[in-house]
Order: sequence, then C-alpha cells, then structure tokens
Amino acid sequence: MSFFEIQGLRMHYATSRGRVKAIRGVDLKMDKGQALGLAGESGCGKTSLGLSILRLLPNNAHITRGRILFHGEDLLRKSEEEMRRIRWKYISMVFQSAMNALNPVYRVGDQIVEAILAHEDITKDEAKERVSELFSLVGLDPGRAGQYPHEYSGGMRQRAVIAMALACHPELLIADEPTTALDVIHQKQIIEKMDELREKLGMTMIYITHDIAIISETCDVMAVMYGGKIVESSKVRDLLRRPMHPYTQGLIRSIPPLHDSVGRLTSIEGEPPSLLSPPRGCSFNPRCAYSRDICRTSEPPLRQLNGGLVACHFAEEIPWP
Amino acid sequence: MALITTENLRKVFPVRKRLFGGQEYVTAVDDVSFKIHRREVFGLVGESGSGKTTCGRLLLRLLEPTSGSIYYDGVDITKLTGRELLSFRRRVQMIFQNPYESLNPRFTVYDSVAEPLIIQRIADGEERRRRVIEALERVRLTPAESLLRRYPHELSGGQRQRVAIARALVTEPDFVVADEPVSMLDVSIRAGILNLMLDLRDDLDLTMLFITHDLAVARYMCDRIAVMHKGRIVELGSKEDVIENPQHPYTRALLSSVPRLHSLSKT
Ligand SMILES: Nc1ncnc2c1ncn2[C@@H]1O[C@H](COP(=O)(O)OP(=O)(O)OP(=O)(O)O)[C@@H](O)[C@H]1O
Ligand SMILES: Nc1ncnc2c1ncn2[C@@H]1O[C@H](COP(=O)(O)OP(=O)(O)OP(=O)(O)O)[C@@H](O)[C@H]1O
Ligand SMILES: [Mg+2]
Ligand SMILES: [Mg+2]
Repeated sequence: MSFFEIQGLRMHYATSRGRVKAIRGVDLKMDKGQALGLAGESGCGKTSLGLSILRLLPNNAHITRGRILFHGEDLLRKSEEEMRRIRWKYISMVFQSAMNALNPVYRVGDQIVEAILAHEDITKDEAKERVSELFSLVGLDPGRAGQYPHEYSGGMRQRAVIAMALACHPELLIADEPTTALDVIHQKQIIEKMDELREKLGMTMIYITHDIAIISETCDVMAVMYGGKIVESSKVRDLLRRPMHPYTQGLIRSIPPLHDSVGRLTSIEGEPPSLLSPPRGCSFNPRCAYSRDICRTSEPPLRQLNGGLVACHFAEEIPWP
Repeated sequence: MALITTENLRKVFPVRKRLFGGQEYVTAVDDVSFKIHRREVFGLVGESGSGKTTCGRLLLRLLEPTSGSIYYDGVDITKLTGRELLSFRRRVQMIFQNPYESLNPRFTVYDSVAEPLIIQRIADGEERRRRVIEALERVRLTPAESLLRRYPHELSGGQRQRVAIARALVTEPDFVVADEPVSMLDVSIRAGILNLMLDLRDDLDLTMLFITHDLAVARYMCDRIAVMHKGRIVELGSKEDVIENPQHPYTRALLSSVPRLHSLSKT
C-alpha cells in the first residue's frame, strides 16, 4: 500500500460557458517522506489538484471520477467532519493566496494559536510558545506576532502562512507556490527547514512551483502538468538531464540564465489550451513541432520510458538538447 | 533628464506590536535617494520586508512619505493636489504584488481591464471592447472571449496576475511600478510577458520600476538594479556590476543563495 495515491482523478468547474475541465485524469503515487515537485503551465490545474486532495474546492467544482488514497483510505468518501480532523493535522496546505488563508481582522499570532488549539490538546501558553518557535523557523520576528496581516509585507504574510501550515506537524504538506514573495535567502532558510522536517518526522511533500531550480534542489521526483494532465514524471535528475516531452523541453528552454546575457528569451509558441474544449488527441499537439496525424486523433497514454513516465507518441524520437 | 528623482525618502508606520504595548514604529523606507531615467527599467531587489513595495507605492503617491521628496518630470509630486494630482495619476500605473488582493472580487475580467479606459475616457463602445480583448491576448489569456465574464475567484493565480498586467498596460501609461508582476507564471508564459514589457518600453517609451526576487529576471529586464536591505538601498549599479561583481555583503549573500538548476547537461 502506498502512503498516498491518486487514481484516475477527474474534476471540472461548472461555468455559464460550459465545463472547465481542470483535471482530466491524474494518477500519482507517493512514498512516505518523498518530495514531489509539480510544475506546469499557468492555469493547467495544479492548485485544483491540491484543493481536491484537501476537499476544499469551491461549490461549482465537481469531482466526477477517481480515488484519493491516504494510508489506503479514500478521502473522497470521508464526511466533512472527518475531513476537518484530517486537515491541518494530517494533511495541510500552504495556499497560493496567502491573504485568503489569513483573516484580516485577527492578529496573525492569534490565528495560528487558534489553529493549533483546534487540533491539539495543549494549553494556550504552550501554543503561544510553539507560535514563537514557528515564527523564528520561518524567519519572522516573534515580536511581530501581535500585528494584523495588512501590516505585513507580501513575503511576511507568506511566511506566516507557512508557519501555520507546519504548526501541527502534518504528515503530508501541499505547498502551492509557497515562496513566490520571498527573497532567495529566506527561501533557502525555509526550504532547509522543510527538508529537516522531512528527515526528522518523515513529512511527505507536494511542492507546486514554477521555479524548476528549486525542484532540482529539494525534490526527489518531478511531475509536469499540461492541460489538466500529468505529461511527464521522473526522478528529478533524470528529468532535467533528459526531458522527454516536448512541452517539458520548451519549459526548460525558457528559463533565463543568471550569469549570461541572452538576446531574447524564448517562450513556447502558440496558445495555452482551452480547458472548456481541450484539443482532440494530445492536448499539446497544436503547439508541438513534432506533431503528426496520430497526435491530432489519439490521446497518448502516460507510459514508461527510460525509467520515467511520459505521455507522447514519439518520445523515443524527439532529440534533446 | 531623469523621469523620477527621489531625495531622502522616508516612510515610518506607527504600529502596536503587543496587545498592551505602547506605540511603536516600523521604518519601512529609510533615507532612500535614486533616479530613474526615461525608458529605463529600474530594478528593485532585496530582502522580504525591506521596503520595496512601500517604495513603489510612495512613487505613485498611493502612500504619503513621512519625509523626503519625489520629483516626476521635474515636479514634486508630494505637493500635488486636485486636478494636478489626477493628471499625474493618469500617466502612471501599478501592477500590485498580489493579484489575490488587488483585483476587485466583484468585477469580471472585462470590468477590471476596462475600468482604467473608462475612468480616463480613452475609448468606448466597440473600441473599448476591442482594446480589452487585445490587452488580454497580449498577456496570453486566450481565448479572451471565454474569460471576459469570469470573476477573479474563477481564475488561477497566474491568470489573475495576467489580468492585473493587462489592466495596468491597457492605457499605455508613461510609468509603471511592477511589483513582482510575473511571480506566479511558468517560465514560458513569463518569457512572453517580459518580452511584451520590453517591447512597450521600446515602442511607447515606457519607464518602469521593476520589483522582483528573481535575480535572473532582474538581469534580463533591468538596466540598473538597486538592492534593498532593512529600508535602505545598500547597492546600486548596472545589472552586470551588481550581479557579476557585487560589492555589498548582503548582495553577495543574496547571489550565493540563488537556487541552482542541477544536472542540466550542457553536453
Ligand atoms: N472556480 C472556478 N471556476 C471556473 N474555472 C476555474 C475556477 N477555478 C479555477 N478555474 C480554472 O481552472 C483551471 C485550473 O486552475 P488552477 O488554479 O488549478 O491552475 P494552476 O495550475 O494552479 O495555475 P497557476 O500556476 O496560474 O496558479 C484554470 O484554467 C482556471 O481558469
Ligand atoms: N500599512 C502598514 N502598516 C504597518 N507596517 C507596514 C505597513 N505596510 C508595510 N509595513 C511594514 O513595512 C516594512 C516594509 O514592507 P514592504 O511591504 O515595503 O516590504 P517589501 O520589501 O515589499 O517585502 P516583500 O518582498 O516581502 O513584499 C515591513 O516591515 C512591513 O511590515
Ligand atoms: Mg495555482
Ligand atoms: Mg512587497
């Protein structure tokens, strides 16, 4: 039995213009203590996947198929009451929208104290003590715990939300772009702490980010999403040494270098796919330089190749670099 | 001539840190002076909480400075009132750091992007709609028609960020403060948007204050880079100098903490 597994998950948002098919069949397996880096195009369904796991999707979202197994139990079959006990304590999430996770009218420190007291049988003073430790852990001055969210800078709020997500030592942490508002020094400090928690407590982590360098430094496995699906996944090293899917290749080519000047950055040609009416066949085919007839008619399955997984009919033939 | 000159800019926020404590102060921006030239992309990087956003807001007079002056096109904007202030505001735009907070939740995508055109009476009817769609397509929100009636909560993080960019650029302003404008975008879409901003600089003489934590992005976008630490600018120079030959210990620490892309074979 895997520690955590997603099987055949499908989910859409109902809108006045039709269904936005944000997750179109996702399979995923994780061992305890593993860190998975999840990258992919903006709008391809990464946050939707995280929210599905915690069952925190908005009302217009519908999961139509699949299972999400945590310790072998299907989270999609749990009652709301059971989910409330699981959230924060067993599975927690650093939300992409730090401000939405914080209540503007309460002091930041108090909010974290409340979150801890709701799940653990400890005294208020002990909880306060833990909040001070958490603040130091994410590089915030504990003396500022009594301030309101709007008095924090963007990155300070983000650090507070990370502190909150770590407060109850979760077994699985879903971190959705947790460090976008942080300078690289704070970012490094926090990532090292999360690594420590992984080693000490066996915390498992899904790290959603556009920063592929961070994935390469922290994660064991990397998965790339495109148009509501995982199109490639492998050990991080293998994937970066030899990306197989044309979308992954384009993504890696778009990374700006720090120490060289480049003429003009390249980006992948063409438009992101509409999830209201995804292209037939391979969803990347309208933008793919290697596409042939079969790519427009038949959807490539995620299959094993070179020790990883890739969803492309012609992965063997596509060169790199 | 410089488009913007700041002299000894300071911003102090009164705060109450403890429940029963007395008045305390946070000095967010501490004696900051710099110039931004016309058509320049001026980068602001540095520590989280060091005053970058505050600095950007001061330049657009979204905040009043505690002391110091800010000249825009030779005029001290800290003294502007009434009609003059309005006409200054028409020439400048801000892309806010967090698109989850800055977009009005009751506005559709169309409303958000059309609003500056309406306020400034730039275009109406079909022309307005055409410009909104064009602005959305330029930031790769496609098909634009299918997004016009969505609300912010129905968009992904990077999609919201692009709506905010489209909104700021639709009026073709002279000066933009872009506060972490591309932090939620994948590298491919990001590259397209950075190129778009550079094109606007070339075609429309756009001047920018570009705030970012991504030093590679700063290197690509900016002409000069200023490094902030605890409310002060600790280093300012051409992007090559700051990145290849950093002088201040904080800048060095920053550069040595940049995550590196491992095992990307060049052979
Ligand atoms: N409540 C909603 N109603 C309708 N569509 C939605 C809703 N929430 C998200 N979407 C759409 O679902 C798709 C997936 O969104 P999601 O937030 O999961 O993307 P993402 O991969 O996290 O992107 P980003 O990297 O930009 O944050 C997007 O195309 C988005 O527009
Ligand atoms: N309205 C406010 N009231 C009180 N303090 C504030 C206010 N706005 C900002 N500050 C404080 O001023 C300092 C600078 O904040 P600012 O938002 O300018 O930082 P920043 O450099 O943009 O950081 P980040 O990279 O994290 O966004 C911080 O200590 C912050 O807490
Ligand atoms: Mg997201
Ligand atoms: Mg800021």
